[in-house]
Amino acid sequence: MHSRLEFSADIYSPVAVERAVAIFGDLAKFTVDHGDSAVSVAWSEPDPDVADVLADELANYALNETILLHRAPTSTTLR
Amino acid sequence: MSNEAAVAETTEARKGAGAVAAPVNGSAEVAEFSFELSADEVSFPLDESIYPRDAIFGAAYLFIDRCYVFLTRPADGQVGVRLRPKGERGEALLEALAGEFANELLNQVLRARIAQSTTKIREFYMQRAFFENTPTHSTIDALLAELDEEELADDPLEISVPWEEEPSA
Repeated sequence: MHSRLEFSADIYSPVAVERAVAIFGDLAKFTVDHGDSAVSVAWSEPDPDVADVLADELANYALNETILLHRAPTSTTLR
Repeated sequence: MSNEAAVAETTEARKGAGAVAAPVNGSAEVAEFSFELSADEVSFPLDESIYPRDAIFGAAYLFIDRCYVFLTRPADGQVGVRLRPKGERGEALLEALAGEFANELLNQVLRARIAQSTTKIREFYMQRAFFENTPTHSTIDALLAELDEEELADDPLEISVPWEEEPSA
C-alpha cells in the first residue's frame, strides 16, 4: 500500500507538516518533498491497524499545528 | 483512501447548495454557498475575499475534533474545504455539517470585525488597568470606614448589646 498527500504550501505551514510527519513517523515510512506550491508527503508500509485513517489523521494534525503556528507567529515553542 | 478512489468519488459527488449567502464586499451581489456531497464527505470552495484566512482557520479548528478537515487551494483566492466526519456519516449529517461550518465562518468573520473595531477601547481599558495609578484601595477603605461609622453610631435594634444584658426597651 502506498499513498500520498499534497499540502498546499500557502495554506499549510511546512513546519507543521514536518511536525505531523515526525509524530506519525512510527506508523509508516514517510518521505517529504518541499515543492514551490505544495509540500508532498508520501508513505508506504503503514501500520495495518491505522492504515485506514493514517492520511486523515496526518492531515488533521498538520492543520492543527498550522493553525497554532498561525495564531502565535512569534512563538517558537507552543508546548 | 487512495487518490484514485478520491477522484472516483468526486465524479460521483452530488452537488448541493446551502441556504447561507454572503454579500460580496458590500455590493448587492450575493455569493451562494454551494457544496458537493459524496458518500462520506462534503467539500466546498471558499472565497478568501469574503472569508479571511483567520476565519477559515478559526472555523476549521472547531471542527477538527469531530471531523477530518483538509484544506486545498483550488484556485487563486479560494480555499477548498473538505469535511469528513469521524463518526456517523450520512447525507443529512453532511449537509448539516456544511451549514454549520458556514455559520461558524460568519461567526468568525464577525468576531474578527468586532475585535478590529474595538481595538482602541480595549487598549484604553488595558492601559488604564495596568498603568494608571487609580485610587481603588483608598476608595474601598473610605467606604468601609464610612459603613463602620454608620453601624457603630446608630444601633436602633441594639444588635451590639450582649444577650446577657437586659435590653433598654
